[in-house]
Amino acid sequence: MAEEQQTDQQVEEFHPKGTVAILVMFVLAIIILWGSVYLILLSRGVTV
Amino acid sequence: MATREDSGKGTLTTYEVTKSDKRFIGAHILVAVIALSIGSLFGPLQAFQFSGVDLYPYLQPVFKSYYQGLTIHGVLNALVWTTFFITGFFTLTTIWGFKRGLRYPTLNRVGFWTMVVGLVMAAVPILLDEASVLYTFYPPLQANWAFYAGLTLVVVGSWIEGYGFFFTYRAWRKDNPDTRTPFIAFGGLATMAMWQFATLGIAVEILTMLLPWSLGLIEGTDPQLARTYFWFTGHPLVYFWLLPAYVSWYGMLPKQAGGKLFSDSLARLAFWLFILLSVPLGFHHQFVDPGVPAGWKYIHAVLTYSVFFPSMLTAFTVIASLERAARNRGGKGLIGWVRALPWNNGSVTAQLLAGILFMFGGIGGLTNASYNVNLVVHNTTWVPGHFHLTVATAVTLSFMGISYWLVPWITGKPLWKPRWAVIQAWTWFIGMLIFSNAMHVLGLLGAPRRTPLGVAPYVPEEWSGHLLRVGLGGAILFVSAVMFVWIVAKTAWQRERLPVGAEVEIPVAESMQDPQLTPRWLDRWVPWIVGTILLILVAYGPQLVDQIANIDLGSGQAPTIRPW
Amino acid sequence: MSEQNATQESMHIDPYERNWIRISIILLIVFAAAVTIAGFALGFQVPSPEERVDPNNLTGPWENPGLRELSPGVYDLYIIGNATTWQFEPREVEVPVGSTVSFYVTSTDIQHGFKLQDTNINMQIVPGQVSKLTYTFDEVGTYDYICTEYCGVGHAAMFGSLTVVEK
Repeated sequence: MAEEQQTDQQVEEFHPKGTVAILVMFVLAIIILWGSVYLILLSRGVTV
Repeated sequence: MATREDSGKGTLTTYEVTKSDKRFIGAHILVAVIALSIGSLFGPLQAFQFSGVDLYPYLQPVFKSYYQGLTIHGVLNALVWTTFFITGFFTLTTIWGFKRGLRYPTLNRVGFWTMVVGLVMAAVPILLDEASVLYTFYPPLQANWAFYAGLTLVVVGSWIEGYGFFFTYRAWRKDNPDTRTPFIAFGGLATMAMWQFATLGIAVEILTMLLPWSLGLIEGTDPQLARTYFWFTGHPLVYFWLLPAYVSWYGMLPKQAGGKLFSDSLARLAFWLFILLSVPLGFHHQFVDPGVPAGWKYIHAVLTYSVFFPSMLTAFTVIASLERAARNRGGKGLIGWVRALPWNNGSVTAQLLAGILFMFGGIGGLTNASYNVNLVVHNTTWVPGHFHLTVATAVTLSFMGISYWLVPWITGKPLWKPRWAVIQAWTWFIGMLIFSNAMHVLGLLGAPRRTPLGVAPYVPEEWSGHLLRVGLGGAILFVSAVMFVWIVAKTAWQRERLPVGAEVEIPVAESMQDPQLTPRWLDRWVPWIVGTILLILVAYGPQLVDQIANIDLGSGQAPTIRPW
Repeated sequence: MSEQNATQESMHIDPYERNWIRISIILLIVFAAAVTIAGFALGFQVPSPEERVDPNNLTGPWENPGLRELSPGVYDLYIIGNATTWQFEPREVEVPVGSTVSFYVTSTDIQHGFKLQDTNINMQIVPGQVSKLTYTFDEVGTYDYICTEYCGVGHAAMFGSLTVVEK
């Protein structure tokens, strides 16, 4: 059971910093890509 | 044959899946892979046509047109490969999750054979060029009645298999009143439950309009209402495709990568949110339809933003699970740990690459759903560019990754040339990057979808570079598809067997918290089902009543001369 | 997570994931706001129900489709798509620069698409329904309008063009 204990111990310290880093890049990608199509919409003129 | 030992962590049961259940699951995978191999033949034909190489004349008289090929590609890949693989995969997750046989095995077999009969019934008119109406079959384009009847049987068959899972769950629940539903079984049940709601739209469309119309019992259809019925099902259909991949990403991949599921409660919450939010947002496929008020389109756009949230949750939870696994394997650094993941394992690599491309698929989806932003991309090649990242990569490449342990498990034989499985995954990834990017860019330049652009007179010089990349990407994807079918076939038909005791193990990830500590409201069905019904009534009720009340079957009669 | 004792039922949400949930919600709200402003304040709107017609017997302005000048620089443009000749009628349209054109498009038989290239005019064309959006042409040039919904063998050749000329 010692091995089980050890990983539970690890659980307390494990905070997914790498995940946050990857998802920050994902959010930037969302903003850039979504934003570029939104700007294309604005550049192509109103429809009313 | 289940021997049960009660240990502290809920019931730990050793269970031996019966030979006939393994064969039954294998039958699903077999039909799925056959459908994929035929359907994937036509992908390159379309992609090459974009690049000016039209191979269709050489296929006469067997295959008449680009659009017949497009219908085969769409129906076999997006409907048949997916539905059969999913029901087969969920048969496994139900049996292995509950560690018990199906409650009514014959019921599931009836469901399977209903789907097979439906498949054949729909395939005949498609192959005879009597149903070149694409996989959305918008009236007044009219296909042969057998096409609609066949699709109906495939859907009804999938319902029956779903009920087979529900009955198995009820039997398990009677024996385990207080145990949390094992996650991989829960994921399957949740998907099939959402599917029951989802398919109501297509069932009503076919039974009240398309089938009687194609049999000549009614004069025509109301095309706008038919679109509303279709897209009532059309959007949750993409979650029917996606959630099985999520079951593997949440419930199996962490184990394959050497770690645990990061959060059992949030994984379950994501599935409940998909049941709740998959259906009441179909108008985001109809933003530019004339017959739906802009107000309702806006409401459905906002609801579509809400269903983007469980996918954001999934991104965090899955990547965190993988990060923990990588660090267990000695991965270091903020992002460097990614290298420590088992990239030599074809099943893992395929699902990791699927996840990477799915992030861009998700961004494209959010763009499509953004109300007026859809004006830029609607019905352009941006849309197939998008769904080749989602259903054709996030889902299909993940299913290929799952096959790399599932087929060895079913056949009891080692995976044929495991290194090739890794190469196949990377080939798909690279081919898709080229193909999908070119399609997205062409879409922004205004190229229409569902159109043999090789012959379109309005194609400006500006598109030609991207049209070539479409052909190049298509060629690479074709090589990858052939590799996949080859690896799976060789695995199944080789004589070599795995030694006894060294059989393939079904990867089931433990979660970092004991599932018994997950709140009870994340394991009770009634409140979520009631919420789903109410939300569908609110989001669809008024417009359905209005469009039905103003139905005009005269406006959608079949053209006197068949347009294809 | 560690502060709650491990035997108590709870969501166990990692603080990082809690922040991610907040970021996701904020991001979606910002995008929704941008879309709402563009739509309801700036005039980037999607089609709404305009009129129901009988595709087998189009009357009124549909009897001879084309341009109608309502007042100087303000036009209605009636266009009909069909899947026997796979043509838009009219196929050629000319307007002076600065004109505001309201596009009314319908079909006599099956569904089509109507996309005016390089503009936001992008509509599904459904028999029995009239699709309508409006556009102001500030620049001289030629804008193709193409069919973007599969409508049979002639679908790829189905297009017309609108030319904006000097006043």
